[in-house]
Amino acid sequence: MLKGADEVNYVCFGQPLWNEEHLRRLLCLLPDGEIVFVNQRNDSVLARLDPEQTVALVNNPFWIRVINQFNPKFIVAIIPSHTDEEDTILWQKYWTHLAAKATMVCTDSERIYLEQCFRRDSVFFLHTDNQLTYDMHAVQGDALLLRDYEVIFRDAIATMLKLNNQSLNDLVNSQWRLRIDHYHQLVCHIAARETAYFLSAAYHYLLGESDARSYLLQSFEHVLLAGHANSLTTHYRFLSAIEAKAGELERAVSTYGITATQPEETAVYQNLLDLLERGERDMVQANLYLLNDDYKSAIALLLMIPTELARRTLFQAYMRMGELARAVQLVAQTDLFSINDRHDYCLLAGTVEAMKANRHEAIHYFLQAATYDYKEIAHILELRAVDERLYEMIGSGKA
Amino acid sequence: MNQQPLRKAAGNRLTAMIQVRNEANRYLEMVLDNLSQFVDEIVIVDDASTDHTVALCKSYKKVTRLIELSESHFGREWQLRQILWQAAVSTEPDWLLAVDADEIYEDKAQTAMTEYINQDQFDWVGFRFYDFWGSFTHYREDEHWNIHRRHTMTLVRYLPGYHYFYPRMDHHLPRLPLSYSALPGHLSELRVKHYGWAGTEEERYQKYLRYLAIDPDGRWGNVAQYQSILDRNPNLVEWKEDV
Repeated sequence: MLKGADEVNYVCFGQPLWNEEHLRRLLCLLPDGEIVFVNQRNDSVLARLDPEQTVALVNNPFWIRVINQFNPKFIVAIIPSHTDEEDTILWQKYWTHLAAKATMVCTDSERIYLEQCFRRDSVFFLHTDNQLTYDMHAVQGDALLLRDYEVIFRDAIATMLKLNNQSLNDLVNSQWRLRIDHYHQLVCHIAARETAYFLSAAYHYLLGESDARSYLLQSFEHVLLAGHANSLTTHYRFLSAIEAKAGELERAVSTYGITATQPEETAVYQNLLDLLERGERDMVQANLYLLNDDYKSAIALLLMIPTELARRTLFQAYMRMGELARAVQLVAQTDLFSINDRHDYCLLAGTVEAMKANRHEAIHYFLQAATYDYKEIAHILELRAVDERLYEMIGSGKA
Repeated sequence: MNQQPLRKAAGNRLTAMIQVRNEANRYLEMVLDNLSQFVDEIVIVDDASTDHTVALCKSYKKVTRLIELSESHFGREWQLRQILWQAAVSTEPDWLLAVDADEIYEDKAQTAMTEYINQDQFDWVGFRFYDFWGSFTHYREDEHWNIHRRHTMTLVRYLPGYHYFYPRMDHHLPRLPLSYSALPGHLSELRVKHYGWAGTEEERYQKYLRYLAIDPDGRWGNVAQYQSILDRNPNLVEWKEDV
């Protein structure tokens, strides 16, 4: 727990989006504490704040190096759904890094929300279709009527400050249940039932509930009736994760095998069969989670498997989900025997240092990578590009 | 435990599945003779026939499973398909061929089928069906009768554990689970002769009356096509055997 709730500071990085109505309402729900806005790279306001008593709220990932340098006790990443930058690779890449560093991740995009739920704990959805009021909140003499997600956000921040992970999980679960209720109601009223059934299956899966199976199959049936292409991979394959979670590994591998129609997928399927044959059931389960983008379950399992194969798979999982700081810790000296290995390591270590705002160390690694492949100079240029983009956004009032 | 891939490229067995009702004096004998040349087993569901259909089926040694329903499931096609499907998969087949009691595969099916079922790249095969009209020598081709211009999926790999799903329809149900449409397939140029309209004018008229009675508004099919059954001079094309 922090020294005292009244000593908490909230630092909002990036001014403009905080003026939007739904974010201003969220700021009203923060427990007592000073709220300050940082909108310049070397804002002197940070110098007077104690990082150990600070919650950073950030809605632009290009602030990551400033935030990492400041090193606040808590980071709340608020990923916006509709921005000009949304589709750029750099924007997505930096969000991946920032989300990996965040204590809590929030977003008003259900796509991003689900993606993050499959990657980490403490992910919250900042949107609802439910018009009902779930609570009232007093703000300077006025009463704010709160929607369901606002109540959850308020309670989550308060719980986070108490460092109570279990209660945070309870709040995450209750929001998943709200989404299930929403889709159960929606399924009777919309044409695209396959989506409602599929999302229901996903939330039941996250809750570890066996209902996931029947919803997934209903989703598959509707997608077949609608005649959509690729339903084997977009819908049916998820059944293998559901079966893996239920411990039905032979069945799960078969299900994956049915969906494995491309040469690379057939090779993955054969690998799963080989692992089963060798009795490496935990590895089978972890791989099935990874094949369904459930990084959270895969990593939890891989961390408990004391084999070299598990370490390598864990490394790949961290790399794929952008947890580069964790990935770099897994690299052993013995892994670096080829030029390619050393090249990849320099890139990885350089990126990790760049995110920590250790510019000189980052450039050192990138230059080393460039001795293997001169094109890696681009990473040094990218450092500058992100800085420039942030300055531009600050200058144009977008950051 | 020996873990084998689901899709085998060799040593696959083929089971044909047919539902029949009062077919003894039509084309069933021809169909069973034809199938006996290239399938390993035949599974039949008899929908309460009142003629000698069952006895005819029993006379073929490749008919390894024959389910005799005591009352007709006419109008409950979804249920009938389920019964046939369950009976067919109970033979633990590698591949299934869904056949109607008036469909004859051309001669080269004997070799082609072996190639189709012994590969691991695709899970279903579609063939071209030709509607023979008033004889075994000509098929019909016009606006309403052109099924041979596209492919009809009748040969499928059986994948244990897959979710097999038939839409709940009473008529004009697909002969195989819709789930196959999600799997990779192959379009074959092998031809299938459909003799359902090859009989007399009177037989076709009776079928016309039956179609209209079942589906007067064209809910399951196409009313214009039903009407075209009565065309006096349909466009007929001579069938040429592929030698």
